[in-house]
Amino acid sequence: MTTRFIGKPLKRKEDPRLIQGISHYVDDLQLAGMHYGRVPAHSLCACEDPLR
Amino acid sequence: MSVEIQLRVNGKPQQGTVEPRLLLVHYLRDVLGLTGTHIGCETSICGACTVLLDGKAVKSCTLLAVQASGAEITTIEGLAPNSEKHAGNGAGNGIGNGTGTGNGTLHAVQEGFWEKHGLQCGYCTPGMILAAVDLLQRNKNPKEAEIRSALSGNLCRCTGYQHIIEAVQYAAKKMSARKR
Repeated sequence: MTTRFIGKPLKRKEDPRLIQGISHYVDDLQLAGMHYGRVPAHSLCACEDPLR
Repeated sequence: MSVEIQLRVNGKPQQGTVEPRLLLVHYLRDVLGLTGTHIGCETSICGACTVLLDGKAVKSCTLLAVQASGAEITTIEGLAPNSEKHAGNGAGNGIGNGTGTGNGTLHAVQEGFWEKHGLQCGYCTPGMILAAVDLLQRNKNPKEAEIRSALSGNLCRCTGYQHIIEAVQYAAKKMSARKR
């Protein structure tokens, strides 16, 4: 039975990008024609420009 | 109305005209595309937007871009040695970037956060790291209470404070070992 992952701390694979500021959160997205605004209940809405 | 500004960001000279009301954090994120600096509360409470201005930790949501004119700014993208490839690209980022592991050279504080599990979602992390860098520049061997006090302007909603303290202690040790 392999115990490669059991009983020892493992470094997280997602950390390198998070600690160097090169990760992306929703607020960082820039899509063509994107508009954004707040709607009630703390949501952030990103959508295509309906007028185009 | 716009105002001419000139500054260095992560070692790279930047100049341009900005509206006088533009916040430094919006200049970094929207004009330079450096989205590693986060916006949490926009009221100076949470510290997610912390950057170094002439080596000193400041909250970039409470400074105007024009106030940073003439200064040297370091953001999380520019903290690691040899991190010039993230020195700002002049445009917003698309999806799917940022999955790389960088160039393998991390600042001791970044290393500490990775080693000691100092982050969960990572949203507060850039601000935490830069506030810790400011502390370790002033105080090479801070006591736990001094670390807590120095990071009291940075909030973590994953509540990972204990591991963050350990990450800073790891970095302090590592930095003093390197200098010997």
